[in-house]
This record gives sequence, C-alpha cells and structure tokens, in this order.
Amino acid sequence: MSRLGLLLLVVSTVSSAAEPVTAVVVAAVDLPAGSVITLEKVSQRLLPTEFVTRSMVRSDAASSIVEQRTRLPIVAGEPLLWTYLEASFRVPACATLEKDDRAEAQVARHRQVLRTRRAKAP
Amino acid sequence: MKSLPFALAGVLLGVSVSGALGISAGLEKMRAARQGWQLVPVVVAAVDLKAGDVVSMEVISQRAIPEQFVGPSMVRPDEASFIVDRRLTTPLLAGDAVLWASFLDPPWASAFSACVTHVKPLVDARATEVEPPRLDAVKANARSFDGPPPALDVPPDGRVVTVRRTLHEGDVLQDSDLAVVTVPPLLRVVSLVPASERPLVVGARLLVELEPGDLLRWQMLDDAEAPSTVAGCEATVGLDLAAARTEAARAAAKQWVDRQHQPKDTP
Repeated sequence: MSRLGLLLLVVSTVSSAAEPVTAVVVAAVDLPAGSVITLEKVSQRLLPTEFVTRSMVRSDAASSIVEQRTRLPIVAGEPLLWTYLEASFRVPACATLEKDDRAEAQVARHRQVLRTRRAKAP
Repeated sequence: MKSLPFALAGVLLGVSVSGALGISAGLEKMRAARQGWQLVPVVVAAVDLKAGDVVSMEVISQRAIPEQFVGPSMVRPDEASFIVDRRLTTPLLAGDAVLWASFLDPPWASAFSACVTHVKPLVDARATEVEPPRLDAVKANARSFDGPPPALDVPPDGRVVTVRRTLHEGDVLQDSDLAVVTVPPLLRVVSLVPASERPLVVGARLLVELEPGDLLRWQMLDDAEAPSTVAGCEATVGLDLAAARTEAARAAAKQWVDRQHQPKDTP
C-alpha cells in the first residue's frame, strides 16, 4: 500500500507541475472607478491558463497601463481587464452620480440596481 | 512481485510523456491567447513638441504597446536614426507615437494641421455647453438608490457566471450568452456573479466588451432600460456627447474650409 501511496504522490506532483499558468496583472488594493493606476496599486498573479482570456492584462504589459485611469471599480485580487481602462473621455455630469467611494460598494451598487430591476419586473 | 518495479517505471514514463505533451499544449494555448497583445516598442515624443521643432535623441523615447495597436505608420526604435535632425510638420504631445507622417509637408499636411488647430478648441467648447438629453433621466434613476448597497459575498462554491461568446459594450445579455464555470479559490472575489444569480443578469446591459471565457462581474452591468450607475450613465450620456462633438467638429471644419476659399481681397 505504501508503494501505491508513493505512486499517487508522484502522479499528482507531476500533473500539478504540468498545469499551465499565465502571469496576469491583478489589483493589489481596491481601486474605485476613476483611480489612476500606479505600480504600487497592482500586483501579478499566476493563474491557470484556462481561466486567462485575451481581455486580461498580462504581467509583461504592466508598464503600459501605469498612469491610466480605471472606468469601473476593481476589487483587490481581481485581474485587470483592458476594458476596465478609460478609453474615451469622462462625462463629468455622470461622475456627480457617484455615491460610494469604496470599490466594493461601487460594485455592490451595480448588483443592487439589477436586483431592483428584477423586483420591479412584472 | 518482480514485475512491480517495471510496472512502476512504465507508469512514471507514461506520466512524464503525458506531462510533457500537456506542457507543450499549454504553451501553444498561451501563444494563441497572447496573439495581438505582445508588446512592440515604438518611438514616442519624450516631451511636447511643436511643428517646426527639430528632432533629436533627447526629445524622443520609446514605449512598448500591444502589437495590435501598432501600425506601419509608426516609427520603430531601430529606425530612430532616420528621424533625428528632421523637422516636424505636426505637433506631438509627450507620449504620442511618432509617425512618419509627422515629417511630411505637402500642402494638405499643413492644411490639415491648421484645420485641426482651428477645430479642436471649438469642439471642446461645444462639449462643455452640451446638456445631454438623457442625463436627467439617468439622474432620476440614480436618485432612487439611497443608502449603502447590500454587502457582497464571495461565491463559496466557486461556481460563477462566464460568457460563451464575444460580447460588445451596450449588448443586452441573453441567457444563451452565459455559462457557469467553477473557478479555483485563487480567483474567487466578491465582484463575480454567482451561478445562483444568473437569472438576475439576463436582460442587463453590458458596459464593457468581453471575450469568450471572461468571468462576468457586477460592475460590468447596468439596467438596460433605466441606467442608474456612473458607468451606465457614461455609456448612455456619452453617446449624446459624442454626437454633439461630431456635429461641432463638422461645423467647425466646414467654417474653416469656407474661410480658406474666401477671396483674400473680400472686404
């Protein structure tokens, strides 16, 4: 039985070592919408490649997102997507609608809007 | 029993070969996923430069940008020596990619530059004057959400909503666009949409572009009929402003062209 245990250990070690991973940029801290990205606010994380899409910012592209502004809130640990970055002009009139200054509360507001929509639905 | 070591060696050999094949397939997938996002260096202005400035190595720099945004009109670092000591015919702001067209001076190039110089302040002024028609409705929607929103939870079982196909900003989600995957603990954060909430997001408007396999997150969504979030407002009202800007740009450019064609001796 001990040989079988050793065999299983070897198999599991080899298969886990073979799992491909990709380094992506993640938020190191909560980033409310409109935050300016600096290298201190982001980190990198190795994710299983099967969960890494072209939308995510790879670690080797980190320098190209520095000093860019986020258009959506991002919570700590969340991979950064290219579409989170401000691509066009901000609309100052819309920014006045912001009620929450924490990224998590801003994200929760989006869920609250959808829950209310469903509650009102016939 | 004597055959056991051979069997063990055989199993190990098999596992090693399949592991190597797995790594090879993984590298191939990684290469495919990176297509278009490999960084390519291009020459950029290190400082603001005016039309007429002479380019030197001190006023240019290089920056790496994803290859899909690099065009043949951009100057590459190994071509930098060709542009040194040449005179710019169009202004560049610090960080702008240097284009080969930045040194052209046929009549249309200077005319185009002059037109842009004339149009831009007029368009900027117009954008600040515009009262977007849909803004009041969005403000009214947003006002109905007072008080802090209910707190979010990390999906405990890791089963979350993902998208099946490429979706564009402004799309309204259909159930057939969605799927459920189980993500490892490393990826579990409060912004993910749990599988149990899938019915809630059907019919919502998407605020970003997504690729197949992207995980859906709450902040990417807003009410399709009554946008109520800041990002939803920007997507809605931004359309009004973009239309106003286009209209202002067309009017200003026409005004400039008309002025160019006026006889000089007209009183």
